[in-house]
Amino acid sequence: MSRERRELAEWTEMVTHDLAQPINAIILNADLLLRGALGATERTQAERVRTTARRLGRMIADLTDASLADAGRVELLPEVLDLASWIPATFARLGGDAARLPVIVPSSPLHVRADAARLEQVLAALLTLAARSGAELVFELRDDGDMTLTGGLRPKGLGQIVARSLIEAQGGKFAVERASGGGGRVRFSLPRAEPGG
Amino acid sequence: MIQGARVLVADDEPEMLEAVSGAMECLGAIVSRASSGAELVTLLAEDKTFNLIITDIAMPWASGLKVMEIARRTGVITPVIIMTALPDAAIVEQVRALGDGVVFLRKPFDLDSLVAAATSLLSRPPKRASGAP
Repeated sequence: MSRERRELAEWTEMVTHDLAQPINAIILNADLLLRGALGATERTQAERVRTTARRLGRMIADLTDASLADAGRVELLPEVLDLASWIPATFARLGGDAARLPVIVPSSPLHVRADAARLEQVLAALLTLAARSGAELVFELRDDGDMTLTGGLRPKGLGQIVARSLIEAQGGKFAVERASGGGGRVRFSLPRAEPGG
Repeated sequence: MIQGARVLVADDEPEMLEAVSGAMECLGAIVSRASSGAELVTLLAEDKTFNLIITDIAMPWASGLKVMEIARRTGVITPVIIMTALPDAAIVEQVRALGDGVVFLRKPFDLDSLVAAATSLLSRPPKRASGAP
């Protein structure tokens, strides 16, 4: 790791550590507020505070993980996954827009070695790159193991940093490209594995 | 289970110390507060009746993790919730090495996670200290 990347990782860790404290206090206090008796308007407002604080909390945690991954200090629990079945199931479990995402997978199993929780974090992070308005997104797992998310993607964002760091920390490859029909494409892959290996 | 429990909360961030302590008090716990590793050591030495310890890791004078490592070696078996915003692989291993009766909470966490962690630890059957000098 170069000196510049090490310094950036240290700086990011310090900033995210310090940001996590007040946002955690906001989340806990919003939860406590919502335990009490509130009018309908106040309850709606408190729920908005809580939802926004939780979202910010997830962003801070993602950025921390990206920094730890770049420094080789993120905890990884690799296992053999059949992506052909795991990916559709994971998008369904994520719910919301993820559950409605068109997903193309091969008909036969495709095994990789990866940390399932981290890979789920990658998929969730990539979906945050979806443009507010734009071409529909499509996720494809190809026979050769390449995975792509194509369509209305913002060219840059926190989700890209997080996904790249967590894929590369697992020995994978990650690239952002311009798609032929306009929009963007994220392409990534993970080390292949033997079933049960 | 949290109702009436004696809980020691340690965090050097005033907002977090108050948020966690306030949450436990709302749930009926009797809370003592420590704002540094040194205060955590002092309170642990003075009072052996805590049912639960909730501590941050990075604190002035002594980390919460180091204090708990020493406390375990001296026979303190009080259940503990370890909170941190920087869960690198080495820290996760150190937390696991504390043995049974430990829950790791990554900041930021919500009230449900805190309550679940506290309830699971407080509902464990009491154990006797072993290996104490």
